[in-house]
Amino acid sequence: MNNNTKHIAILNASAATAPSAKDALDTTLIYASFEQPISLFYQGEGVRQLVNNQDLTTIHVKDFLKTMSAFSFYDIENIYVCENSLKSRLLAANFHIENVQVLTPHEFANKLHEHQVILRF
Amino acid sequence: MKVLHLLRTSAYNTPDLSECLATFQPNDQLVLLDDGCYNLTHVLLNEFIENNGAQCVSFIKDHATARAMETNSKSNVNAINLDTLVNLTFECDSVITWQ
Repeated sequence: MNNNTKHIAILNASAATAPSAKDALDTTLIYASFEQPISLFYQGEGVRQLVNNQDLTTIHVKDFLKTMSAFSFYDIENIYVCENSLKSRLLAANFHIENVQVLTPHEFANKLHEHQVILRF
Repeated sequence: MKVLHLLRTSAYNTPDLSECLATFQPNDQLVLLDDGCYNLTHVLLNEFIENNGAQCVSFIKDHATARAMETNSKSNVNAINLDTLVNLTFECDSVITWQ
């Protein structure tokens, strides 16, 4: 990885039922399949995408959340969640994928600032 | 790294401003565009300006004027045009659009 490689951050701000959540996942997997260094950030309503035991098929939405279990296959290891967003929604850190790092708002902002390309969905 | 935050939505109906300010760091710049200009009167932005100063916040003059926001907004926030916005994109290392 040469030194002008750009690190990409996908900032998820929409719940799983929003079309932009699926867009974010598609974008993530495309970048990852081209072996671009990519990190995932979940803030605001975006943290709801990681909540365990969801079943989108009951509302006739394609259950794309299951695709997230392939993250490790795509070498996507940097997954960050905003602690405040979880707390303000009374959500526990009970996620349907592994290797999720819960960060304080300050840590979350610092980590985001380490990335040159930031796409928000 | 210096980040340029482009905010296009109003805090009166979306959480984008609060999420943006949660990731904002001292070197960053915030520009209010389109409906983002409505935030000029929002308590969240006013508190942010009181704590961090107004020099890191600006708004697109025409977008505010179109929404009759400029007249009754805080005068210490910079009114800029789109040329200045383009220059800002070169000054900063990366850009986040909050919409």
